[in-house]
Amino acid sequence: MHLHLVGRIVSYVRAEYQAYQLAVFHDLPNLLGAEKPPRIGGFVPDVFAIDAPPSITILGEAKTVEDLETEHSREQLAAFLTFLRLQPSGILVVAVPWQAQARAKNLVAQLQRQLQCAGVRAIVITELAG
Amino acid sequence: MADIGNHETVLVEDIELDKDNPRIRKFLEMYGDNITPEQFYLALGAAGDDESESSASFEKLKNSILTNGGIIQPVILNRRADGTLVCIEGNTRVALYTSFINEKVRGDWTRIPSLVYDHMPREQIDAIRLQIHLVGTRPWDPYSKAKYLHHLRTQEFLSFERIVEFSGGRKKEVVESINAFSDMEQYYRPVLSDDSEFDTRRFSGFVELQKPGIKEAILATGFTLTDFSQWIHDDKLSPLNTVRSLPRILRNQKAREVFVKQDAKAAMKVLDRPDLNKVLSEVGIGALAQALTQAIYALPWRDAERLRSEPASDTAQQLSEAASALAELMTLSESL
Repeated sequence: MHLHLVGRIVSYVRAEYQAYQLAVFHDLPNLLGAEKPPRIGGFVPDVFAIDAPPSITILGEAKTVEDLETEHSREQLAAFLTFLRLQPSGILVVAVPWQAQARAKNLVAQLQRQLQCAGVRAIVITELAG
Repeated sequence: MADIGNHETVLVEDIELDKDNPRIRKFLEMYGDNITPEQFYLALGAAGDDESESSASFEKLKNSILTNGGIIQPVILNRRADGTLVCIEGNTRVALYTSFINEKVRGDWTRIPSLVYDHMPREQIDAIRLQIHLVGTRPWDPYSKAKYLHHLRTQEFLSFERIVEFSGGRKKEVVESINAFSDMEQYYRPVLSDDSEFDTRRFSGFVELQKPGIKEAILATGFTLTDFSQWIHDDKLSPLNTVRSLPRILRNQKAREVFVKQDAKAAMKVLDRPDLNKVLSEVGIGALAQALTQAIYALPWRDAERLRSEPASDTAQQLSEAASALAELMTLSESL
C-alpha cells in the first residue's frame, strides 16, 4: 500500500506540475540508480520535487492508516512543513488511503496552525486516481 | 607550416585504431586483438591519457554520443602513404562507433566526422598529441559550467533529464549547480562594491549552501542569504566547506556570536566537540567506518529512539552530516 501511495504522489506531481518540468526524486524501488530524496530536518521524504532556479518545492509523504496516527508521522510532517515554510511556493502532498483522508487533512491543518505554516499549500490525495 | 588537414566523414571500418601508440601499447597487449571500447578507454586512462574527454567517464562519453546522435569534435586521422587511415586522436570514439555498429544501436554509425592529415610525419603526430593532451582545451570552471546549465534551463527550457543526458553527472548536482549560480547572482553580486570583486572561486560555497539544512538554518536564525553572501565575501567561511557547519554554529548562541565577530573556524572551537585532529588523526577512514558501524549496532534502543524523536539534536545532526558525506563519497567512488 505504501509503495502504491508513493507512486500516486509521483504521478500527481508530474501531472499537476507538468509545466514546471520539476526534478523529481523518489524512493520507488522499480528504478535502478534513481536518485533518492535528500534528508530534510532529520527525515527522508518519499518524494522531493524542485525547480531550479527555485520557484517551487514539493515534498510528498505517503502514510497508511496505521502510520498516520503515530508520533513519528507527526514529527515528520512537522519537519516537512517547517522546511517548506522557508521555501518559495512550498507544497506538501500527503497520500493516504481514502478512509484516512479526513483525518490526514485535520492533522496537517492542525500542524500548520501550531507551526504557523499557513503559507504552505497542503494537499491530501488518496490511492484512488481521479 | 604544418598541414591543416581536411574535414571528412570517414567510413569507420576503414579506420585502424592506434594500437601502436607507445603510451598505451603495453596495456593493450593484455587484451589481445579483439579490443572493446571499454578496454581501449581503460588503457588510455591507465596510461594517464584520457583523450581530451578529461573528466568525462567512459559511460558519460558513450551517453553523450548517443544523446547527440554522434560526436561533436572530429577525430584526427593520418592517411599513410599506402592509403590506410590510422586514428591519432579519438580512438575511444572510433571504438564506440564500431561497437554501436556491432550492437546494432539505432542510428547511422558507419561514418565518423574526421580531420584527416596526409602522410603525417612522426613529429607532427607527437605535436598534435602534445597540444591536445598537455596543453588541451581549457576546462570550464564550475561557475562557468553552472552559468551554462542555468542558461539551458532558463533560456532553452531544457528539462532536467535532458540536461543530465547532455552533460552527464546527476540530477541533484545539476539542480544544486543551477541554484548555486542563481543565488550567487542574486545575493553575492549585489554585496560587492564593483564587478571586479566578483570571485568565481567562491562558487563552491554557494554549492554547499544548497545542501539540506543550510539555508533553513540561516533563515531560521534570522539571517538572510545576503548575510551569507557577505560572510563569503568577508572570508568568514574559509575553507568554503565550513559552510556545512553553519547549522551547528548558528544554533549555538555562543558559537553564533563568535562567528559573527570572527569567523567559522573560531566558532567551531566554541562548539563542544572533541579535537578530532588530535584523537583520530592516526585512524584511517576504513577503521573509522568500522568503528561507527559497530557503535551503531551496539546503540541501545533508548538512544536510537531519542535520535528518531529528536532529529534536531547535535548527535542526530552529526549523523545526518556523516550520512550525507558518506553518500557523496559513495557516489563519487561509483562514478570513478
